[in-house]
Amino acid sequence: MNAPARDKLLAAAVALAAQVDHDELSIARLCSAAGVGRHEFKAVFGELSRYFEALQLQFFDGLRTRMLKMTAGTAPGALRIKLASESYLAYCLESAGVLRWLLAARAHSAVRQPARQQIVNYGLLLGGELRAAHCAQADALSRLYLAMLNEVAGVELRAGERRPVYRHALWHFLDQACGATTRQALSAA
Amino acid sequence: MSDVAIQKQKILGAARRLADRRGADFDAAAVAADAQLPPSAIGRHYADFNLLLCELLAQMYDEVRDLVTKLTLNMPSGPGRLQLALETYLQALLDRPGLRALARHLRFHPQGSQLIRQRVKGFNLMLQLELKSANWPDPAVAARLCTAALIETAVAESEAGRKLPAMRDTLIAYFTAGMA
Repeated sequence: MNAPARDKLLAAAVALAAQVDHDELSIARLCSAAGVGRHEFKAVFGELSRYFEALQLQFFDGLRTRMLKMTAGTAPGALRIKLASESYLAYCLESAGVLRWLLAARAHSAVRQPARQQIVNYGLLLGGELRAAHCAQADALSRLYLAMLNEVAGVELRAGERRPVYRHALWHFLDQACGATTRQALSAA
Repeated sequence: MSDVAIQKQKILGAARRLADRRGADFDAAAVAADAQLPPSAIGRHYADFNLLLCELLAQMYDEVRDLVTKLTLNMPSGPGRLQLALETYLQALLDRPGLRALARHLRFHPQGSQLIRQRVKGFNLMLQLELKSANWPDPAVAARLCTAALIETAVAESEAGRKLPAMRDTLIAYFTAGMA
């Protein structure tokens, strides 16, 4: 594989996504921004959907690295979930242009399926965190919480800035729902 | 009713039968055959086949909304009404696998995505009013996030093909605790 061309094409995304909408993006425009020949794009990715698939993997890698860095040394539980969520939201805002491209590219199953799998993986990790925080119904809570987290990310992406009121509502749900389901489980026992 | 309206009703009825059986996996020819109309009839009423599917999806969403409204209309606001509304909404979606399939199929179509957004907004507003009357902090914000969680529950139940009580109970317990 032509690694330098691949790296240049992926690196060009950040600047280009700030200027060009997903629907306006073409292979020619991408190659021009990256300083790479069209034949090289064809050799590396073949088509734009494959490019978006690789770009999404790069986005997920960056996100994971950021979350691991921000939560290093923190014990499992609610605080670590909030730190990871804050880094998730911050990373989404910082990568707003690329994220908009990726959301639009989910019309392609090659992009949509890995995104869905990523959410499943986060759900499993979060379920473990919630169990460590002694929450009843940890898996169900994890799935609901991730849906809300993605909604907050979407709200902030459209606003182009942090929306603290949404983040507070998210923490409220995390704290209250964990407490409510645990109380319900204890009273049923 | 005019001949045009009768023919359109036949087309929508056929599309509905096919959606109930096959989700979004059917085409204009299948609709025409089921409606016992010539294939050209579909194109006379709908320039784009997806516009027919959008109209069908809107019809199915209306059924769900009407069902929730009918069952909760005379109840006082509070956790009981909210629980019944959520349970009815989720069950109505579970009973209509074709609705979920059509929504998935149309979510990237311009009219389809607009329709889905409108219907989500409608449910969001209903939830917002319930939370507001319970003096919930930032009801508009909470309603938006909880609507996302509710949609996720509907998706999970559609994938599982059955009720998922843990997800429903978690969401309802959150509201009940907050309204107590």
